Amino acid sequence: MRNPLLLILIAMLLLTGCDNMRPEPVESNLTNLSVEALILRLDNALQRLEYQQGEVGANLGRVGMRMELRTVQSSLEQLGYFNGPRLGILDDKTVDAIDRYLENRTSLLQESLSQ
Amino acid sequence: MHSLLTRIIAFATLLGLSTQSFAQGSGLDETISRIFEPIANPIVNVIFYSVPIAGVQFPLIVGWLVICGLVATLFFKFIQFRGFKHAIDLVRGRYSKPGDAGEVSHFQALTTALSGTVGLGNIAGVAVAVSIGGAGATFWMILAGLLGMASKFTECILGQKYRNELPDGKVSGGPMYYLERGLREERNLGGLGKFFAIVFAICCIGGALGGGNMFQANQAYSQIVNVTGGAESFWVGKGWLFGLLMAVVVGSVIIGGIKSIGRVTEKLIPTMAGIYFIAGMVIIGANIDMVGWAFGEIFRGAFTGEGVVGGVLGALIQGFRRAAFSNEAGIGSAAIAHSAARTSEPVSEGFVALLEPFIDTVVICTMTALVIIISGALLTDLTGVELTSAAYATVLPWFPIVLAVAVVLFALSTMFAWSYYGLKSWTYLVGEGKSKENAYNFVFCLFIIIGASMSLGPVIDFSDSMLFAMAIPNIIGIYLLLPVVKREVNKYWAKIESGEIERVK
Repeated sequence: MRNPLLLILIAMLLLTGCDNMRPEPVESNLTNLSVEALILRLDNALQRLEYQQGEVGANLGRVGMRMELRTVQSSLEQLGYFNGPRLGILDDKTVDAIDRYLENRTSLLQESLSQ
Repeated sequence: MHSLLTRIIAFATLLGLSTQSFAQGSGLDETISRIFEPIANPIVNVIFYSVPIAGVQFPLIVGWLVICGLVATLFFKFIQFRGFKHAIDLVRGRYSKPGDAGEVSHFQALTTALSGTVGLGNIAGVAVAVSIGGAGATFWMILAGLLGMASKFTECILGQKYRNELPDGKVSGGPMYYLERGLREERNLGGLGKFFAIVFAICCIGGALGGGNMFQANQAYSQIVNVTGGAESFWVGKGWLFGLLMAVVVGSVIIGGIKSIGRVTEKLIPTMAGIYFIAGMVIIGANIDMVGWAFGEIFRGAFTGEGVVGGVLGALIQGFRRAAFSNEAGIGSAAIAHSAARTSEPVSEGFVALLEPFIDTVVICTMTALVIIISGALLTDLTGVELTSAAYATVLPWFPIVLAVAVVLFALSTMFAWSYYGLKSWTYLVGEGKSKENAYNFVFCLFIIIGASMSLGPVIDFSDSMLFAMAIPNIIGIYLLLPVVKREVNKYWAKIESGEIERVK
């Protein structure tokens, strides 16, 4: 009790060792979008981000722009190109996923329209 | 009464006509966004000028706020912890004397200021923070709340010390006054003080229109759409109509002064905050076995950043940013409300004010974050009020409807408080006068319609930028006037110790 900071640090360490109790994801309308809708979302978000060759022209210091990047990550995840945390950070994994998506975008769209 | 009614009808007609002129084309919401975004974007990019640090774009303005909290904390030797009990005693009226100058009691000033801080920032802002900063953003939010207590302590003392007491008993105070008078009297920097005061007043009007208005309207509308059928709702694409209705309500209330705001908020806040708090506690109680895990996620996320390069800094930015948006420490807005408190001791108001970031950020924001984390809603790609609503619905399926009512009330009460802050800045710039005040009130109500019509991203960017811009002149003033505050605090403690200030209850 004489050193509350020490107690907090010990509690933090103990808590980080808790069993993995990650809950089941909640269903939302955004998780059941069609491929066309996802492509549209991605195109709009990438346009707003001014994405070009692994870089964005928009200021990612803005919350709105990080939210756009998170939308990109989420859409890519639903299309099967991304499986990292959706934090709106442009890391190598995200750039790789975007580039792979852009390579396959036309065929992906044709495929979904033909179904 | 008749003239008031006539004024409200005229006001509603004027607002209606101004939106009608837009409404000719289809997609009025889109039209408003298209017009407003290109105007707002350059301002937002300047305020959020960012530098790349550890793989993340770090907005310098966030660092500006963090450093202020840190400096105030160290300068006053952790006053937020040392003075906490004294602050509670002051709010309970144990040191209040009936004859003290000012318009409202310590408790009323606290609730007026809280109406500007406890609101959508706690409900929707936290959801934004954890959705893009991860669970770890909560840790940084709490830390920002604790540091913010010292910033708010400082600015509210200055607000009280340099307030203007008018012959009719009304008072006007806030950063405009302490920047001008304080810098002139204490530092012989009258010209610079006047310049900062004008800059602050301009920014404060922007802050009132952005964070205190557009963000509130936007998220209230979002939740109404959410509970009335989502994508199938009647309200989809009719943000302007929702905004118009809210504008009429706000317009009819903001004609009153601080006393009416004090009365309205004093009645609304305990109910709104109570419902939201109890529901949050019920959800946490229902998932009590997961609370330890949730805190583990918070600590882990704060220091590992979910394993993403730049994740730690990304969480820190979001935590500090949303905390500042929510508790407004360092922004200067609360100093305006607290300057109206009935007290002859400026320092006592500083102690009352330091409770706000604690209640707002450390308690309520943390509770919201915990509910979101343990509910599993964080794993969806929802954000803003929709995320919080989904999280609450996991245990209380009917709660989104209650939340919609609460969100609308929170939004209204925040708008009332911020309209007052903006009005005080406006009258500082252009002088007092009914027609001048009405002109401001009309513009304020127009921005409700704009805020409700736009999507969350651009609204939050504009709101943040306007609000954080206020911190630039305000914090410079705080730094320059820190010795004055220290002198006042030392005198105050001496009076307490000598018994000159005594407990009356």
